[in-house]
Amino acid sequence: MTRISPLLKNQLEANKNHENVYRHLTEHANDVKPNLPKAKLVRENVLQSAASAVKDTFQDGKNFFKATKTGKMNDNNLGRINDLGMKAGALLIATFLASRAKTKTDAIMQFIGGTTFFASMALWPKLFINLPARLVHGFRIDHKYLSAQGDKKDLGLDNQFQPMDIFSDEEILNMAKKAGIDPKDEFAKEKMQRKLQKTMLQNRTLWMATAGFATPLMTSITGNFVEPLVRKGVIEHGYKKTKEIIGEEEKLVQYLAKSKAQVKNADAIEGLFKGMDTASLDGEFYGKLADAMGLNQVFEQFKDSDDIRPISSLKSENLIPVLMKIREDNSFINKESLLNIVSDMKVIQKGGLESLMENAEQLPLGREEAAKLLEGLGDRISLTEVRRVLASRFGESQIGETMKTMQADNSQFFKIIKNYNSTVLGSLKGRLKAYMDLLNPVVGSKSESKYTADFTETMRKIFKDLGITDKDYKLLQKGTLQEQQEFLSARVKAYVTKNPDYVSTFLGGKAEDVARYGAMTAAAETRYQALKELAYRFADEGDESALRTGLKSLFGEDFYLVKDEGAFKNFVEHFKKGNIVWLKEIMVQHMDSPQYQDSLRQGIFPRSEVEATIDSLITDGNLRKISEVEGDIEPLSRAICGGDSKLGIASFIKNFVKNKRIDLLATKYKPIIAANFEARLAAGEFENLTAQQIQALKNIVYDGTVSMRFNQAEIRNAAEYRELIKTLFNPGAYLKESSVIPGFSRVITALRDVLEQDGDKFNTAKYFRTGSFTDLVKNFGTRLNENKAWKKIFIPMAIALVGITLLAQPFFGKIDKEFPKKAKKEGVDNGNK
Amino acid sequence: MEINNKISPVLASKINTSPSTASDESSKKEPKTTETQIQHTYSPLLTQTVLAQTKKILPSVEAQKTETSQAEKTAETSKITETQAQLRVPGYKNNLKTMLTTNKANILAVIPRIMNAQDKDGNELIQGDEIPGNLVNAVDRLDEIKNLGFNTLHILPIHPTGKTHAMGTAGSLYAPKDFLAIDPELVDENPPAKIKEEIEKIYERRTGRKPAKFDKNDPDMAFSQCEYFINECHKRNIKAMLDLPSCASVDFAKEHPELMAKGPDGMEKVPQGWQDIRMFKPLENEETRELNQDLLDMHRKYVDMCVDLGMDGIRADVGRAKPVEFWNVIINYSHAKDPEFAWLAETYTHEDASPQLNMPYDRPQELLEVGFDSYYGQYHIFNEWTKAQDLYDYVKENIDLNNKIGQSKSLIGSFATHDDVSPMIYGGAPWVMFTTILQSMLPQVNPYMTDGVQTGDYYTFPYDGAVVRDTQTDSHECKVHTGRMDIFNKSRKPGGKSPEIMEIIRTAFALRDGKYNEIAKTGNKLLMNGADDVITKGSFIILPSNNPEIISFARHLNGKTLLFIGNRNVNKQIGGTIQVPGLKANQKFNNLMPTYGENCKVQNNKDGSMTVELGTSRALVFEIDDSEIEQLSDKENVMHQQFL
Repeated sequence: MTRISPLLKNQLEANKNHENVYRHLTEHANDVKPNLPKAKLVRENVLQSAASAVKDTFQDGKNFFKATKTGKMNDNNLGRINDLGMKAGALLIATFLASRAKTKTDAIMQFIGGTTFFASMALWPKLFINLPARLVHGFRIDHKYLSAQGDKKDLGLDNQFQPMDIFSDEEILNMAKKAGIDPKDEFAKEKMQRKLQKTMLQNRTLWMATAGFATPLMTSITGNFVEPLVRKGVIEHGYKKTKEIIGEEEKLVQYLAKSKAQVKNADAIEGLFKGMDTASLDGEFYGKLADAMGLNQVFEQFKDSDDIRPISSLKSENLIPVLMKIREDNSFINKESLLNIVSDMKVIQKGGLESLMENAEQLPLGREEAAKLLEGLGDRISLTEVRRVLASRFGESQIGETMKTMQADNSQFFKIIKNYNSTVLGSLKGRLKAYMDLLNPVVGSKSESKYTADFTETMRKIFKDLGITDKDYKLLQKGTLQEQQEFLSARVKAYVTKNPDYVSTFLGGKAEDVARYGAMTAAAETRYQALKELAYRFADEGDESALRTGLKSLFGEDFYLVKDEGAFKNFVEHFKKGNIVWLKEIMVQHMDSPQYQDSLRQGIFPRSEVEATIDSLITDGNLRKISEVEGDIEPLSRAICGGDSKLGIASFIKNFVKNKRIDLLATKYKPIIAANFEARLAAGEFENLTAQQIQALKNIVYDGTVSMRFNQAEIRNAAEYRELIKTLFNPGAYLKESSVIPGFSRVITALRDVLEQDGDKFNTAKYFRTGSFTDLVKNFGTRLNENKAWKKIFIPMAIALVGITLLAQPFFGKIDKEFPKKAKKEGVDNGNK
Repeated sequence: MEINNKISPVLASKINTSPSTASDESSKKEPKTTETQIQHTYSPLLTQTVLAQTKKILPSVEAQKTETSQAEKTAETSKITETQAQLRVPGYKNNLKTMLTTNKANILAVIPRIMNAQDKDGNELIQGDEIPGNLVNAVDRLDEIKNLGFNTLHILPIHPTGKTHAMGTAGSLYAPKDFLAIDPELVDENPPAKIKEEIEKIYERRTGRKPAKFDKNDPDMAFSQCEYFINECHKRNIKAMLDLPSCASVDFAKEHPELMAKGPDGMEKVPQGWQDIRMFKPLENEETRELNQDLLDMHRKYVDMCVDLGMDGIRADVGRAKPVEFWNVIINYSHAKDPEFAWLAETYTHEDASPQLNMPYDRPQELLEVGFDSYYGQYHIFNEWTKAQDLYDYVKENIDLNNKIGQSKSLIGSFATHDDVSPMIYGGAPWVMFTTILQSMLPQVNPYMTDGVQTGDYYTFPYDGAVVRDTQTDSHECKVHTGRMDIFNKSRKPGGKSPEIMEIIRTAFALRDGKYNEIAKTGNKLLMNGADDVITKGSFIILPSNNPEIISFARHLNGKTLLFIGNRNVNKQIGGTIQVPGLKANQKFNNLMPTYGENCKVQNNKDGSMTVELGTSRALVFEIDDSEIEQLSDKENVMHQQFL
């Protein structure tokens, strides 16, 4: 009989138990819950977010320094360090570029550019992607979360790992509600998660696709709009500072005294000559010594052309008296120091280099002494003759080695020179810089001064007045020099024909100013008539007393014919000879007098604030203050001025400012000169001149660089050229202009003075002073056009980019209507093979 | 719902062969029925009847709505005193769970289909009449494995592979076509007579009949041969842990759509980068987190199958692919059948260490809390840790996790798994030897190695990318993940040309296993008793060094101390001074590990420090007399894994 195995019985029992266990376990499967995610959603408002950004940046720095010690950093933090590195790198690059920038605006723009770049990078997705996405879709797509490892990440950073469970169901459903998904929908949560994931992915893709264009575009457009404001700010700031400093005596003294503090070791010069027998040293020695010290090179280091010009006069020869003075105060002999240099110099000076070459054997130099000679002169001296002398004495092969030894940095003299450079010259540079810093915001010829700002504004008016359009500008660019000249000439002529009162209107004068000018010129005419009547009466009556009284009533007590007895007698004498033309001259002289011009100017062109500031800057009182301070660094004063005038530096500055003013005014007034020329030409004033001569004048007016040499086609000789210049810049021809435009007569005189002295060596000066009107228009046109062209290209690009970016938004975040219930094909073949 | 309409061989064998597993008190008192008795006390025919009856007797889940308290009581009392394996191999007892949690397992990952393949033509691909690895010839390698000191096999999946969109000519091991079947390709149709006889006995016991022939298409034959292989492992006291794939092949997905996950677009979910597999849908309702009962049932059967085959545990591929609720059922269920059934999770320490499209987040803590005994961790990125502190930090992180969970949990020495490139590629044999010694000395770690590395296999194959005529799948391309074990093709037997590694393994494992003096050929003798406890249970003490690259730590327990000093740099010799609190001035340093590679110098500075010069990839182990090292060290440098 077969029986059921007890084992099987047990087994069935066991299976039953296992089944029970299994059933129990399945019923209680949900007794365990998944761990809560360690990741947390970062919930911050705008302010907290900004604070976090700062905090995170510090944390990045901390992580970086930690990593430099431990070599340990996770990918996320490494990625963030990349961002930090970019920022730090941008700051360093900006700092480097700023240090090399020629203007303060450029320097500031380096930083603004860097900052704007990162701001653009950060703002582009915020403003044009995340914000529109929120507005369009109703929910945020820029969530951040703290990962399980404590790293802060964008939720959408990795499409393959988006811990959606950091949102509570309530949050997801709220989001769904805003996104237009019915929260009661069975799959509302899934739909919202899907929509969020898809929207985030699509927008991140959009971000990546557009950031490369958007960031540079936003940066450059912002920079383009910000730059003029920055420049204006820089100019205003500098100008305000200068005005403040010169406005208060105490501040000016303090300012200059501050720069004095840079004199670290004025004794260095004295140290140079300590112990020397200097009795027989003369100027040539010091000249060579100054060369050896490389003084000129020192001054050439000034980066700003505004600074170079005053300093350029600081020639080494100007230092010679300074050095000599110092030498006189020290009469010691120290053979170990520079004795050999001195003695050899004496030999060189006495015998002359050529004879020394011939009698090289007679040189009282041993090898060591020669070494000391060159050592003393350092490697900056260009005494090739000395080298030749030494070579003839010691042989070329040996001289190289000797030179090398002598030029070694450790030579005593070289050390002294270097010390001198770093101390005395350093302070000298500092002091000059202080002056220039004070002057440049007002008169600097670079882009950051009141003058240049004024000039730019004037040029804009000229373009407007002459009606130069972009199209004209392009034609102007393509044309030959002659065509360019003709173009401008035609425009100016047209303007003058249309506006007989061009003098006051050309620069944007107002109608009432023109009327006032008319009234004044009428008044002048009335006076002239009165003067004529007075003269005729005097002719009839011969009463000198009545004439004097009449002149007094007409022109005032200060009129020179009233004041100056000799002049009055002279006038009477000429008048009696029937030289009636003097009447006109009296008028001209009168109207050209500073007093009269000032009164007119005050009436029509009130003195500008800038002019006032400059005038106050260079008043004798201020300059005296400067000179008082300057006394502390006497060598500087002497170096600059080449003399022993205590006020040398002050007068130097005064001249500098005046010259600069004339230069700028000359440039600014070119259109007036051109207009004057065209008006006179139209009025037939140049009828006596040949066509060639008129062309020569035109060349001068429109292309200030022309000299006689360049006008050979039109001008036969220097006398003719000088005559033409006199004709063109006859002060009488600029009567009206001189009367109403500040400094105009001074400009005309200056131009005439320069141009009359024909000779190519003056070309540079001529160009500098006058420049070319045509070039001016072209160059300024380039600036205007570049900016316009740039804007024409990039602003539409930016608008298009923003448009595309915004328009893309409504197409994002679409989920299948049937999601997630879409019909499922069994065993669907979706392998990615 | 059943996956298969027919009665699965698993269930059949379970009912036929399971001896008493009842755990009530009375059954414990009764003498155990032996295997021999089982085979001769009932008719095989009866089995079929009982089988049918069983299906009726065993109530369905729905029908058995008993009180929860009753079920809990049942769960508590359904302890199994003896397992299948225990009964089949006298004297054998599964204790893999304990081994894993007490750091006693030395694991070798093997692939049966290549384990002992015989590549005659040398092209490294098994073709034509060449004999691939199978469950019978794999046994021939067990003594060698045992001899090296491995006591556990991680057996990569042994199921028939899917053929559609397959990777490689044999199909990926991780693309099973049937989870409850064994790959017929693993069947040896012509084993040696003695073995044949043994397999026949197993077959007969499992089916109640003798096999007509050794047919690879006979599922019972496959199960019998697998059982034979496991029995042979157990005879050598080698534990067997089967790899449970996380996904299924495309073919499987077509057959069982109800088990598969669909994306929001209705398409089946594909794990990123794996065209040949589809993901399961473990949750029927993600909102309520209701489990997919069908999938759960299939996995239950999988556990049944494993226990039936005598497996000692399961390695769960991509542990995060199923939720904790799922594992809660399956793992606890397995323990009802075998309390020592072990679970190893392929999971990393960091939540987003391995982000992958369509894969849930990796949260190892919850997997450990729900019953996994051991986990992969992230030693596979050890070669990226350039400073010793990185290693120390990671050790601390895991010990902290262990102590926080309140249960003993361990890692495997995942310095190189089948998912990683061969360590030979990173640093050659010296690097393999270095990491072998290191992982043998680390706390909370069960040393782990993939088959082949023990002799320096680079896992580079000449047929990589070749297109061949013969294929078992729809792919003719011999796809290989270069540098990794070939899981896609029938490859050659793993192995390389650096047999010197084996001596290192043998010695390092002997030190772990307390058999150093018996096995080691270094000429040095260990003075202490129980070095194994020092390594598996002792504290971990960081020894500060002035060179951040030097890895220097001590393992200490009850006055016994071992030192590990190593240079993880494969390119540069390094040197430095190491502080060893309590180091005696007369302490001599005898390296307990075999010498390899470049020379090292060690000097006792007699001031509590030692100066070392270490060759590239060199690891040294010393026994020192320093009972106070733990007390004298900074507290922050001393870590204890708590065994709870």
